[in-house]
Amino acid sequence: MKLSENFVLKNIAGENVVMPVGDAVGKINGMIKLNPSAKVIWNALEENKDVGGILEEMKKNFQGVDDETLKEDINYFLNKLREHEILVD
Amino acid sequence: MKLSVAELIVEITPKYELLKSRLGPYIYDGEKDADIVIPLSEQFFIDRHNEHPELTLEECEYLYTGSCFYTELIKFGGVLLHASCVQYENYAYLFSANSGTGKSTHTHLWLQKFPGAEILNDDKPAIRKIGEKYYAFGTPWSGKFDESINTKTEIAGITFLSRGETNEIERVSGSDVMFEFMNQTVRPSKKEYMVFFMEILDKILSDVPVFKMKCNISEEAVETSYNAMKRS
Repeated sequence: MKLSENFVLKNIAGENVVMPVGDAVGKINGMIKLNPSAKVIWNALEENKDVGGILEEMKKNFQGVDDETLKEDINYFLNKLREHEILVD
Repeated sequence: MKLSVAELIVEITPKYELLKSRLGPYIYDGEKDADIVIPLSEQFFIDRHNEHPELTLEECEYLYTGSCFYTELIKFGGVLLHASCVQYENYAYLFSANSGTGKSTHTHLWLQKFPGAEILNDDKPAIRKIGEKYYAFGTPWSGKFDESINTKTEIAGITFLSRGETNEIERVSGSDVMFEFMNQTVRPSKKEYMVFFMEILDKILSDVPVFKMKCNISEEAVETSYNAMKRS
């Protein structure tokens, strides 16, 4: 489970923005905005964390949310990333 | 030959008349080394012309050297905005929109209203931060008509225009116009350039006053934008 090299995440004017580069430019037109939980997951993926590691990060950032809900969020976002070939195996 | 554009030394070897005719005010005779080299060959323009037969060879040279310059500009903290830029009383006012919206119509109304106002660049001004201030620069690349002056003027604000029945302008936050800005510039495809590009965009959208405006074609439209954007 690895993020494609063809994306850059930066904060622009208070928004977490992901832009495609290289081969991804033709596939994804425009930009992707990440909400706060998606950003935590993205950062964890950049550190090559697995689902367990991502869950730990989410628990640190979103206290008081139960594990099941967090796991659902994580899996939902990971599937979205796979759909768009942003997450490669 | 060398040019000085947006305070950068640019090395270029022009081949056709259209580009040559725009370079005069930018020619640099000094000893400094080039910051930006535009390496495009005649064969490159011939290939692009074959891909886009609707463009003449000299138009291919003009467009692709511009695109090359604006991409390299990113490495020096600068960026293109597709906008018509008017300068008045030592400030630059940028109006950006899709082609055909009327940004150039709007800035030309400023020229009628304000004696001394000038078009800094009618289509592709460069924006660059120098020190703590953001400046608009004229460049040799300015669209169909040669409306650009070789100057550096502090930016008062950037307005994203759309057509309206009446005239309304609103100061907005940088994130409200991020999408519009992205669509009116050259987005680099190389990763190292994209990282710089996003950093520049963050700074501009955090620091420069930005507006959204709906306007018609009238003197009142000019009063509306000037009053909102002018620095007190």
